[in-house]
Amino acid sequence: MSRILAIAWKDLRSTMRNAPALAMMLVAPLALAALLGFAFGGGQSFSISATKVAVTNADTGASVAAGTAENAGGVIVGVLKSPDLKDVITVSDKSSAAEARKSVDDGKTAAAVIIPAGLSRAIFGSGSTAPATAVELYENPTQQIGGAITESIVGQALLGFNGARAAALAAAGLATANGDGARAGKLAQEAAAKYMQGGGAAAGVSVTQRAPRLPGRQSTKDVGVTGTILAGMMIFFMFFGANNVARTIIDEDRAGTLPRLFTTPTPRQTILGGKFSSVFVTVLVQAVILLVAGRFIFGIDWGRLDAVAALTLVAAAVASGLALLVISLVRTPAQAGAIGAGVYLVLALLGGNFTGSAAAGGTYANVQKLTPNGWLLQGWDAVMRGGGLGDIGLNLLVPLGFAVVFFAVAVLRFRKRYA
Amino acid sequence: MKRVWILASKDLLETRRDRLALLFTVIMPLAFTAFFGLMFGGGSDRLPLAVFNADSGAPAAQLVSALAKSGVVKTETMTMADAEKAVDDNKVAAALEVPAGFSAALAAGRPAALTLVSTAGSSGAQTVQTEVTALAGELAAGERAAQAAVAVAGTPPGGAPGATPQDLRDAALLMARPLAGQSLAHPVATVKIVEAGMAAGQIPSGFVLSSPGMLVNFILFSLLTAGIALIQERRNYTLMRLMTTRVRRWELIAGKAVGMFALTFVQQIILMGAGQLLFGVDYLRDPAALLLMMVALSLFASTLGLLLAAVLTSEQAMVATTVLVSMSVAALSGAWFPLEITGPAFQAVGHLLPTAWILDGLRGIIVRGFGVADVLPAFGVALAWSAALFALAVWRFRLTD
Repeated sequence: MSRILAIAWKDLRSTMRNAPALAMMLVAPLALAALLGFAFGGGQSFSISATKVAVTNADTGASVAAGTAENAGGVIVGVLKSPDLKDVITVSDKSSAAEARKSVDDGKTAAAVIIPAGLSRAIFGSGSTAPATAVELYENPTQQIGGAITESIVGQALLGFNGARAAALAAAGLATANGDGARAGKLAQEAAAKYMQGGGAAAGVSVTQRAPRLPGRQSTKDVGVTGTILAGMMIFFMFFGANNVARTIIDEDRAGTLPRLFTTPTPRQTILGGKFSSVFVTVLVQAVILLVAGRFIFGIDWGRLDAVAALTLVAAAVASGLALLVISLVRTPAQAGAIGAGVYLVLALLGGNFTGSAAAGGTYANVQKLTPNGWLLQGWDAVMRGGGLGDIGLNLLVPLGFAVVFFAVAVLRFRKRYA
Repeated sequence: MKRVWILASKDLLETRRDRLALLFTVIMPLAFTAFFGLMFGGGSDRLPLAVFNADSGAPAAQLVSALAKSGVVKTETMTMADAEKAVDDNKVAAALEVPAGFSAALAAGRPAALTLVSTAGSSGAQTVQTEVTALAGELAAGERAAQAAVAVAGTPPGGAPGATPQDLRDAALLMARPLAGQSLAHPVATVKIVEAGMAAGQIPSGFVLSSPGMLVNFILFSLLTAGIALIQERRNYTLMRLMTTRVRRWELIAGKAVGMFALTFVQQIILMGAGQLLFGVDYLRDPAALLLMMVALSLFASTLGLLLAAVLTSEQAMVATTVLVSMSVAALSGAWFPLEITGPAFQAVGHLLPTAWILDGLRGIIVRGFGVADVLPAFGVALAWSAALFALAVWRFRLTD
């Protein structure tokens, strides 16, 4: 046992003195988590910049009742410019449709709202004979999110008018059915006005979002963006950390120190056992440093200690098992670097290390479960939201199963190679 | 000049014979393009939405059936406890709770509340929320329109014997709802979306985002092999030995730079060809503008690679630095996700890098029909960066460690 520890200690020390290895194991995940946290606001929720929107209103208005005129286009412009939306969109006025389109073409705005001349006439026109019209949303196809936001705001405003029109038509229909057909036109106008007074459809329904509540969880909290990102980056770079140490088996084999060790009385299993232990211990230390750094630098609340400890141990087992498997399959250090990086990148991609829980639901959630890191990440997500050991049983057992298989194959391969 | 080309072609030959290099230069970027393109394409995959309806009224049922017919979500009815668990397990994108009293609130003209359960940061949940809000808004508009009509036009005269005013009002609402619904189904005012510069009928797919993004990411990544080769040659004294021949120092540096430029340029041709043929990304809309962007990207990548190889002394340092630099630069430039979903500070920092400009240029060519004049600023930024990086690389270039 002391010999295994001696080998493990030597490898750990040589890793600690290797600046590039440390950069890859510790600096890279923290730097990328900081960068991506910065991209998405870092806090409890995603924050994005206000979309720049150009607007031009050619609507000339229409008379609604005797002596009163309405300009539907003006109402839409008012909605777009309302103070409630100032964090969402920034509106600039343009004098013509051509000018508004040009501002999108020049990249100055993400979208242009072009209100046609006949909008009010179409909306407030009488009967069902009014021609349909459309507000044009001219958008930059590379800025689809800004376009979608603008579309939903304009769509809501138009729904208000269409609703008013529906109220008018329904009132006219009712009046006719009630034998009050003579007053149908007047009642229709009154119904539309009443609908608009009530706040239109906007006042009708509110949708609030919250995190899932599960029985047995003390608290359910929303996970900060940086925590999710760092968990993904940590597991990804643990693969590289394990690879760095496991690679020393090949390095030492080529340098002749491994064959020389085999001439000592120490059994080969002990020597390989020492190498295996050093890989595991190194990534475990790496993970602990990253978790602590995440806590103190980014203020991440990782969750309950027992669950975090279990996930960390299993993650270290998966990373070291996988790295040893890769090393057992290759012959040269160059192959170890390239094939290892390829395998880790593909696993990280499928497991969701780069995408977090952004794509919850659907096929991708099932693809994630084909990889050990996908299970681990979902476990980490649950623990950060307040889950305990009881919630992540499978998220521990499945990756552990992967790790055992990786280790077993690696042991068989090394036994064959160094028999 | 001939010697420069000989040195460069030797490096290219080496890369061509290295089968592992193929993995990073061609296979991985294509795999990532396909993956991210499909993931963010939205397309055919409807988002699973758990629905729990605790309300027995007609409007609630109407909302649930409208959601069932939606092209955006795929509903599954379940109990609230199961729904919470399904969200937690990532089995569904979100869960919708229609609380008891939803229909009554709508009927009374009070704001009706819906609850959407989702995990933080889920983009699928945002899409679901937009769809639920739109469908519920339409439902509410119909209901409120019918109520306004009844309030103004009154109830039918007479009615069944013994009918209370409430019965009469309900009967009137029954008449008004379909009238209002019919009107809303054929709205007079709609939003018409026009995509700037799009070729007729082309719909921007997820690949339009992922193909240029992964191109930039992996062009930067491929500095790795070329950089390591240079570091090895310095360590093996190959560079010193070359100096005993008639090769001059500037020819050596130029040869290495040309080699990296050619490598990344060929890589771009292969990746863009695959993007055009396999993923339907229309790179060739303006070949002259495209050529400018390709030259800009290869100039930036090769001078950056040359500088890294000049400054760093070990292969491991080259690997660590390249991974870190290429991933950070790619993320900051909008190669992984569009910059428009990030905060203003991030966008500003991103556009200090030439790769953000090049990506804007490439995406502009593909979807907005950018021409040479439109991509010239991006070319200028890349040229300035490359000149600075090249000057630094020449200054720091050593023949031995």
